Amino acid sequence: MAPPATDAATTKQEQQHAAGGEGVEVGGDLRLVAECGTVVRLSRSAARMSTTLFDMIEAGCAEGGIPIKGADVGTLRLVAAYCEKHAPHYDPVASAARLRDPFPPFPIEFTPASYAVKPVTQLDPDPHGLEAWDRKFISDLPDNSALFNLIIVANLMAIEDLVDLGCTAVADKMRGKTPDEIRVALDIENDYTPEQEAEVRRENAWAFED
Amino acid sequence: MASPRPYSPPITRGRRAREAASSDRLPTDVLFNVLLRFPARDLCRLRAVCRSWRSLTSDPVFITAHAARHPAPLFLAQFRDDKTNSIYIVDLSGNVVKRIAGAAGGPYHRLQCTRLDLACLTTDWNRCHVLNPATGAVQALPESPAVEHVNRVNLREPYTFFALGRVSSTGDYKVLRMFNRPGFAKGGQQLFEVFTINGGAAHARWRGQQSPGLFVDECSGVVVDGVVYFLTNRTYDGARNGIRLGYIVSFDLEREEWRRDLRGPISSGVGSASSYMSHHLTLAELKGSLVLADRRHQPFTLDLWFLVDSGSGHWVKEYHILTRPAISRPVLVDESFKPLLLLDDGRLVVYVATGGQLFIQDPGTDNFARVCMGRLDSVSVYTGNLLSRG
Repeated sequence: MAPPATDAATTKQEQQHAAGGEGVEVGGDLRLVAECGTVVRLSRSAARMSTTLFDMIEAGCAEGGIPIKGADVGTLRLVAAYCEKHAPHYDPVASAARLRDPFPPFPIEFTPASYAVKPVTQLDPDPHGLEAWDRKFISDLPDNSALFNLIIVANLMAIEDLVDLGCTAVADKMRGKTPDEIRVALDIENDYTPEQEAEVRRENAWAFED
Repeated sequence: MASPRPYSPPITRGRRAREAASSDRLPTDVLFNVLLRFPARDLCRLRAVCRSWRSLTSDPVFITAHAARHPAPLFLAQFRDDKTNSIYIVDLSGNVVKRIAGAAGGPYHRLQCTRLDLACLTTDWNRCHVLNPATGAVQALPESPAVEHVNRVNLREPYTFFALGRVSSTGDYKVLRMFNRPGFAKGGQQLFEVFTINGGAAHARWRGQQSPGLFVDECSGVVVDGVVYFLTNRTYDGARNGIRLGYIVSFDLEREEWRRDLRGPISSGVGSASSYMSHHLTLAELKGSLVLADRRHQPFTLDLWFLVDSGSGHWVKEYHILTRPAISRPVLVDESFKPLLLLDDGRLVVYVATGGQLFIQDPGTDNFARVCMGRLDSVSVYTGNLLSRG
């Protein structure tokens, strides 16, 4: 007995699934459903970047609409664009290693022996242009709220690389700024009294020393 | 209209409304992730932004996560000719992370070489204080001797040696003090005492201990996992007892008793003056093991022997390093070449006291890279966390 269909596409997928039995790869795009009900499509290869979606695909329950709770359609489209761009070059092992050890030990310069051969070609640090794309992706975001939403949804969908990119962007907005400048940049209320703030600065005086 | 800032801001309707539209503000778990990326010094500055940032960066969960993400080693350093008497926390790039002004105590104070979250500053004239680099708290140890030693110690010429260690099973920090009376021919003696730093008032007194029955070389003392190890004093005991070079004596800080003597891996016949001179032995602690460093001048080699089984006294030579003449020149007989820390990737950090410099040795090659820093008077490894507030 065929289960009730919600729309034509779903019926077709479910019929294929029923006909093919266990382990048949149906192969269509995933359909992510935003809070407002709009569907955002995501190819299977791009969905690999989300651990949550990847697990759902493996478990065979990624058919039909997948609601992404709390995600507005704009953010979901951005997340989808990021995944589609990065998917062809996604290496889960390298990604996990990079996230596990984000601050590799400082390099120590060993002066090479005079007879050491210098490489003829310089390795391109950004061979697929992904870093440049990421920078533009972030700078095109209209405001902090869009950036925070991006991180929240990426976190929900367990897309580690995108969470990392977003958090780095927030950190970059803070670097080199005084506490007051940070409050302005991130719209934070100063809930210290002047005495309390002076106390904190005194307690951590060594950090303010230049 | 400006309203006075409340001491404890009440949850007003406006505030609740703002929090409901939470996408405008940084959510807490995102903030956690973002703040983890900053080094400790920056975070202490960021504490001034608002109260929740201060409590987040002081929370033990955050501090633990931060330490895991910032594993680069830190060192306590005392620089030569530093008029401010400061103790510095430095990293291996030579950057000063924190300066604690006046913490050294005096021009003759030196850092004991340990791998702990505390600093121990001592002179050989019976001054010892313990510093917590994160909080700045200082505890000066009393100069008066233990009750048991009152009439036996010459306080006018104390010639003290101090060793700070941590007993892992109880978390106690204890200091071993030795009063040294040179002039062995006239019946000199070494008197030992122990003081518990964090044991509360009941234990905060010097307790006299037995002597080990051998003369120890006080400069050789190192602490490994709550046990203080010494080489025997070669001038005295070598001649008197025929004890071979490289005998090791150990004091257990937890039990407060001497343990069975250990035979070092190097032994050479007594009587041959040249064999004494050709080995320069120092004790060190690496990766939780006792290490005997055997440095020779001809050829320029440094062997590191690790004590792998203290019960059976089994040693393994894990490193055989060629020390370049470029470092050893001018070659001084008493030039100390102290292994300080083994990094996770196998590189070895070494402290050369005569020049007051740190070097990093690359495994697999014989390259030594000098750490760019001012010249040191003393150095120690710091394992604590600068975000801790006590």
